[in-house]
Amino acid sequence: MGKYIGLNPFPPKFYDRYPPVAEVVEDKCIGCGRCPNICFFDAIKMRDRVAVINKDNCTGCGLCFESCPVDAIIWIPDMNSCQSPVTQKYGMNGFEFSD
Amino acid sequence: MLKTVVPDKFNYMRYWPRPRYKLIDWDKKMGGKSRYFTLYSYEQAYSGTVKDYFDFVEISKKTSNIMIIGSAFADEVDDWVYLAKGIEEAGADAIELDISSPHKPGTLQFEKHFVEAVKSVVGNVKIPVLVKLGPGPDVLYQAKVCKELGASAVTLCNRLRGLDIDVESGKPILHGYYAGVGGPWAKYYVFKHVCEVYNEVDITISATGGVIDWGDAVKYIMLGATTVQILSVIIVNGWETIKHINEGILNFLSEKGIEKLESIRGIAARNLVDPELIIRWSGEKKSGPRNVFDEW
Repeated sequence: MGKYIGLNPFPPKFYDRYPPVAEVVEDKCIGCGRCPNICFFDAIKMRDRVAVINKDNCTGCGLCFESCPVDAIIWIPDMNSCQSPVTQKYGMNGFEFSD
Repeated sequence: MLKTVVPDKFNYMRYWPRPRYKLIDWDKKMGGKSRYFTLYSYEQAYSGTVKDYFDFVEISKKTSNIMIIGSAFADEVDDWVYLAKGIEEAGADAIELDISSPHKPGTLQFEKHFVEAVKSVVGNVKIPVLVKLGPGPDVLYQAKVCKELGASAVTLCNRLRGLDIDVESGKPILHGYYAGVGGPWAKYYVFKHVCEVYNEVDITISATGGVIDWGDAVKYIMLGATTVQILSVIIVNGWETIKHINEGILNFLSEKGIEKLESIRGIAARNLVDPELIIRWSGEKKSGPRNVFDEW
């Protein structure tokens, strides 16, 4: 329990400020090729036996996290996303919350 | 079958939480080969506006040579008719009314609008209308009503709403609300619903739920389904699954010497045995504790 970073049981901490997208920890990635298979947004490709995620295509659906056998995928905040639903809803300035 | 579109009133349904999916009981070592897992998802509707959706239908129709079916859900007659007409004008071959989505807004009871929704859409479009039913106890009754109202087909069955919790924190997983649950285990009750509707209602059936290989697709066809829809297995195993399933069905047909699917359609549903004809035996102890040897 709790070993899937950000997925279990709740979304990541920055969730209310930035849309989360997936990122590969290259040192952990074993190049098994499961995440490019499971991603149906064409956001993941294998390059030199390491998975690479195209953040523009990533919708943060969470399937690659679930498929990764070594937990090499983590959530990162997508600060540049103009296409994300959160940005569209609140606008680009909507992220500036004060702590 | 395209994603379900909602009217502007349900604008918040167009914004998806992240993550949307969780795979429960998913064997990471097997990487999609496991036949038993649960796709637990907090899915929302199509993420663009209604206008975007109509364009989406039009582009899909232009760029592919397969049937394109639009899907809609609303809660008022006006919205139903607006979406249905727009989808028809955009060139869709059929429209599906997603009245039983597990992700519908929590407080709305679409079943109440069931009759007027189907009636209004059927009366206003010329393309076939499919009604997607949820796997409840009244599927048969709802299918009969759909037939009476003039729907062309029923889709059996939608996924169910479910819930899983994290025992460590005592909170529901994912986003803390009910989610849609489905998976290969879900097929057995849909088999029954398809069989029942095929035997009792004269309506076309599009079956969906739990198909993981060609065998399940053939089972649905043998139970009387005209078409079979798949999604979960594409999500976990990729788009090649479609090719594998089609090849598997063709191999099966050629091995058995069957020329066309029509000759096996509904064969299993017709072989259903009347429960009164099932052979039964007496000899059970009528009451009291069993196997308590002291009392003998």
